[in-house]
Amino acid sequence: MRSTLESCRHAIIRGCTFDVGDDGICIKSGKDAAGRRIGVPTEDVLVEGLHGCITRTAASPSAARCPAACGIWRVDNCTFMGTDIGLRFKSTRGRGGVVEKIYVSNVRMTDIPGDRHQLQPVLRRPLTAGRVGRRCGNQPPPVTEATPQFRDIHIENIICRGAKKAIVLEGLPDDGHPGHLPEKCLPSPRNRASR
Amino acid sequence: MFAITSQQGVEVTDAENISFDNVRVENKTGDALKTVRVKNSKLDLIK
Repeated sequence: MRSTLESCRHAIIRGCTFDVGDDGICIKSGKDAAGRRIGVPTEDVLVEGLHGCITRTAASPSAARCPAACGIWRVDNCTFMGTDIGLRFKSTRGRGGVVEKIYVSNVRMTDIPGDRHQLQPVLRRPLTAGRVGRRCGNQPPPVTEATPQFRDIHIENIICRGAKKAIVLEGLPDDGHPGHLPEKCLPSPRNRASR
Repeated sequence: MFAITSQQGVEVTDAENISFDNVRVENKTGDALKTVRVKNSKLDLIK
């Protein structure tokens, strides 16, 4: 069974091994309008392992699905083995919320299987076809509180061997609203996080 | 440092203010970087 943190604060996951057929660690906070109304984010989360937080045969060892809000969490010194996807941040129209202040560092990804599996070290996919927000003709749907936001994501010191796709960043095609697009996604040593 | 060996490269779509710094991608097929509707970003890869 995967580890799910939902609307949690001050959580530490350290030195664990996940061997599941789903997300290894899932960080989220409620769902859709109910999640936004309750508005309890998941924040101050630390995921680390001295010899690695190892996930095998999981869809994603560390996934963020945050309709309400998720903020300030760090993934450090982890090893992902044979997972479909390395790091996944995803949402869809209708869920809303903000995923922000994410710090990922010192992650090794190895032993990626072929066939249907594909590992993408970083996958952001707020644009998945959901009930809300399908395009009408050429017009993207309006930006509302139900539009998810991703911003201030810092990723550094990542070594990945054998991914199908290196990095996939996919935002929403809506135009004219500065908030719905990611403000930062920095695989950069200059932006090392400090807790 | 961000080092990846992969079949395909990097895809960035509908994004803004993305910065790659010291990102090394060794892809086997296709382009190392594909961008669609990307604004105000610095996407420099090391091959």
